[in-house]
Amino acid sequence: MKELVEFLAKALVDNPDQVQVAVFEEEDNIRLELKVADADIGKVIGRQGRIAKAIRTVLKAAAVKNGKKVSLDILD
Amino acid sequence: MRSVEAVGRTVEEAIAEALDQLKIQRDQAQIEVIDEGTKGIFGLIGTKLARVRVTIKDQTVPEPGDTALKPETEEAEGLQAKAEWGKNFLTLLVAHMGVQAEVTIVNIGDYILLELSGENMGLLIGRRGQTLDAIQYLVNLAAAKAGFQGAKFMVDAEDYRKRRQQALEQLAERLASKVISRRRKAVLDPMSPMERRIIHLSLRDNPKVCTYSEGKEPYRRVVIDLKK
Repeated sequence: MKELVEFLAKALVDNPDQVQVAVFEEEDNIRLELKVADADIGKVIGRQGRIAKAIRTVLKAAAVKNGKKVSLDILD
Repeated sequence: MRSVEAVGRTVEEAIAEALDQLKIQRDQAQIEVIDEGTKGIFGLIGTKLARVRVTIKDQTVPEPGDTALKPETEEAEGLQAKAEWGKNFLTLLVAHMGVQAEVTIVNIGDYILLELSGENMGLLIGRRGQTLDAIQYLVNLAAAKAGFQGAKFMVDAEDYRKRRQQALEQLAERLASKVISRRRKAVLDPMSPMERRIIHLSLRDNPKVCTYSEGKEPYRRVVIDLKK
């Protein structure tokens, strides 16, 4: 999960070295927090959240495999 | 020669909108960008919509021959490199999703078709293809970020796109008959520009009904109505 978000975020931003993903596991829930350089926030959110939505869709599909719920927060 | 002007949040969206209105494919169109538009800051401040003019190409005029030859081969090489890059990126992406899939470059033309095969394809397609669409969108974004231009990627698995096209064409036919018999227009579910174009194209030659799109993205939908 963490690697997936990292991989996608790094492919989309101008400053891949500043991509950070933190994982918080609570029973059946996995919460991921994505942090990118201030200038790159738009690159992972997109207009009307379109990019964030696509990342979450891909993440959800990946989560189905291990039967856990996953959520992604983008920090600003 | 018919032409329309369209606006969108990006040049691509404006082009898609214009093609949608004209009910033609991209290779039948001559595209002129009037205004690139600006994204503004986070799409909030100082946004300006992109404007394009799309004209239906005159089919009888042949493409300029000799002069276009050299750039064409250069373009082909560029597209080949882009396709290889996309294959690699997509393989990595699905591997990170925990799915082992093989990626094949099926076709390089108006778009670069990448086909996924293996187990768990249903998972990669998702409900109504939404996961496949998300993957395709992200691959195209990452390609643009990596500096690639030209034809866009289309990502497919288990012929989903073709099956969806057939399903949409059948839906269009069925609804068209209903519109004719009930003499009432039919409003479809919201669809992507690509899916709307399939509906428009499939009913283009129907003598009794006409089609148009209404509403704003991402809730834009096709309406099938009786021809006046």
